[in-house]
Amino acid sequence: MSEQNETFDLDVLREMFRSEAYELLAELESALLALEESPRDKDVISRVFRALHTIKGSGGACGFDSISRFAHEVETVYDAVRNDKMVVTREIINLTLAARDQVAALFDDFYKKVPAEAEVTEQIINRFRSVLPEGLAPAIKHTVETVKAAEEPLATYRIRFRPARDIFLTGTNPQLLLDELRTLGTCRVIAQLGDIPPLETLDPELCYIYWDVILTTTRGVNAIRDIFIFVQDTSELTIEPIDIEGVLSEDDGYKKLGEILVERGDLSPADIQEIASEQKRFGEILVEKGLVNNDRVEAALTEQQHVRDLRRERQRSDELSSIRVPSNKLDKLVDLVGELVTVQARLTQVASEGTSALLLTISEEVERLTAELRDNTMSIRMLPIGTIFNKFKRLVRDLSQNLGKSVDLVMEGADTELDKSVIEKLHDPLVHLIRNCIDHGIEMPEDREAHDKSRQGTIRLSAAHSGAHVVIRIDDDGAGMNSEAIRRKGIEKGMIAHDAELSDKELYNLVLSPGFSTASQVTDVSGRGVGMDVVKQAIEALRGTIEITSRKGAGTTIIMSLPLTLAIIDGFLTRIGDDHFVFPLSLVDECVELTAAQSQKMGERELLNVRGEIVPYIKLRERFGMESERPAIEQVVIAKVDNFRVGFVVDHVVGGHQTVIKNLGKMYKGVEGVSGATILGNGSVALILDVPRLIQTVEREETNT
Amino acid sequence: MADIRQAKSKGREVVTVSGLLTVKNAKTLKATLSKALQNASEIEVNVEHIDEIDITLAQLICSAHRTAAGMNKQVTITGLEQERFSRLLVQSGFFRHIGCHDSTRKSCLWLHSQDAP
Repeated sequence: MSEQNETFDLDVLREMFRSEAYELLAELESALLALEESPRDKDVISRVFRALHTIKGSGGACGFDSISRFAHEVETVYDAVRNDKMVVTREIINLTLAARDQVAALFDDFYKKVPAEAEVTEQIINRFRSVLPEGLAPAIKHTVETVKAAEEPLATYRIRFRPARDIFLTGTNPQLLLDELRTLGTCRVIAQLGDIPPLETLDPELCYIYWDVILTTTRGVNAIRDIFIFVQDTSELTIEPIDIEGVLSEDDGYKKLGEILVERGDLSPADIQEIASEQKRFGEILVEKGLVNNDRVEAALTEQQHVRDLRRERQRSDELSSIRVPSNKLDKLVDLVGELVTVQARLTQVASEGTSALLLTISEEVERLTAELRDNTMSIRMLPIGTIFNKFKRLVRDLSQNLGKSVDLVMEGADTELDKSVIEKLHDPLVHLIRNCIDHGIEMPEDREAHDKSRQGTIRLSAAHSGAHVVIRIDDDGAGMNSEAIRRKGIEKGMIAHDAELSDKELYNLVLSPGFSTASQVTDVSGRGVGMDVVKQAIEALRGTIEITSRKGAGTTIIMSLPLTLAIIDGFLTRIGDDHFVFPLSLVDECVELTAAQSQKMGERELLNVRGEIVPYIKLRERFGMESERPAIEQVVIAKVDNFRVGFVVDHVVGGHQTVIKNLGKMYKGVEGVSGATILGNGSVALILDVPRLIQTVEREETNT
Repeated sequence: MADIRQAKSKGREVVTVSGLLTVKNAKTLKATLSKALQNASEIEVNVEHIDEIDITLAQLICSAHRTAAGMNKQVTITGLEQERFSRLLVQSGFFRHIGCHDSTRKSCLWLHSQDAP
């Protein structure tokens, strides 16, 4: 292969490894946090070890040599933990988390072009060495130098080890050699006992046993030979590769018993020919005829089973494995499906206006298929929300340690699925909210104790489906919000009048206003007076809503409701004059006609009596400054936002509409009350209404006047 | 320190081995087993209380079992659930699905459903 091709291959490999690398880091972090809670849990220790091992192996294969070496150093520590040579301490966990961050920085250096500080690697290694028990630190240094040569393809070897008869007398214990072989990989050992004589001729200080071993390892034949280095001159040792991944494993089965025995030299091909015609199990015939003893048949059968299991497992993992697709390709697919939905709407319109029954049938079929394709495509983009939830464990751990607080993060509904673009945009708001919970909500352990609470505070992060939305809740059992302090601050900042009578809910919502902060001290965690309004904006940009409830002394709950997807929504199409407007269907409660008898005006606010309930309404024609003529009977679309019902007056209600959301572009960024646009079947554009923002704007204007 | 005792119980010779059983005292154990085989048609080897062992113990018991089979006598082993001994048998590849060399399938001492790890 030319040098140019090698570089190309490495680049392709590295790009393919990209998402796996970050997934491995997330798994490592999650396993470490679990280990902190159960430091002796062997399964968790194995999880940490496996993640490090894969980072080392796959990273090395992709040419990330420094990362591979670093991961190997840390892996060595966990190998010692795994083998009970040392125990996990808080310091080891902290160091490993720092190592994980450094590996992330090294990956970022390559993938995101964010420069990493290479010397941090050495600092972490030195700190690891200082906490390791005597005798282990030099081993780490030694392994660094040998790691590169250590990794080879996964291969299975057939090993026959016949020690010298006097091996016991030389002080060598063959069992220790077998134990060492086990450390290289998956191992099956069969002791060949056929040479053990009866008692009268047995010298009990001699070894009559020899061993057949089947070993699957990535360490290569030299690592196997190294184990027998001190007995190789006096022992018989044969090592044959019988399965190498991608080389000697062309099918999922394995050789027949006779073939294995011939290969091992335990049977001649002529013997096989002779007994081929007999209707008995092959192994039994061999033993009956005295051609091979039971032990050798056992060893051959063990080899057969081992390799078959290995190949079946390999084939199954190949079959079950998913494929990785760059997310931009998925975005493109969703865009194309969006275009298709738009064209399909046009086709449906043309077909329904025409006279061709055949065209109508075809358009209906296309409509059905498009809907199916849309649902399938959207489902591909769905990710469990746990992918970001897990990141918060580390945040809570580090932050609570920094602040001297004790906080437990409980997560529920981590498998709730949400569109990947929603999940990506949800990360920062959630980080801010959780930081606030720890900084302002959860009290110091001694304060909690003084209030008859457990020293450890709890933050509960949960997600659950609710119709076309996902509801995310953050509950803490901290000090709760002080509604009086919020009120004073609101008056001080001129947000509310001195004599304003606000419900607790309205007071708490003040916290979400720009520039509001009750924290008298600015910390590096939160309390800079920016943030909560930004959180609200971010949630609303996702077409979601946010609500705060709190009880003084008992804790605070923040509830966010978010749409499942941002790409295509179920819309409710309406018309004013010749222009169309789309309401998100999930917000629409009902539609009523606007009649003079039912409507009245109270100050600037227009109200509608709907079956005895007074509902404020907004005339969209006036709001958007449209000059077209009003129809005789107007319609009111009543939407429900934060449990408040508000009506919107339109000319006509068209009905349900699959709305492919298009961004309006930077030019229209400042337009309040419109969150996007969609293309209708006739090719015209309909604006998608930002209902919560429209209500806020009107409320703000009313307050100002 | 090895402790090898031989006693009669219900017509059987019971050889109880305990303590440290390695190549250092393999000759003593061989002598005890040989004597037991001369004295009775049924020999029970009890390994329940062993502390430290090596492969020589398993090799000796295997040999005794083979010798007994040749004499139409029987050797059984008790205390196999003892962790040290069963770990030695598993890790050294003694346990098997097919009976050993001279034995019928049913009488092999190491016939076991457990796979070597």
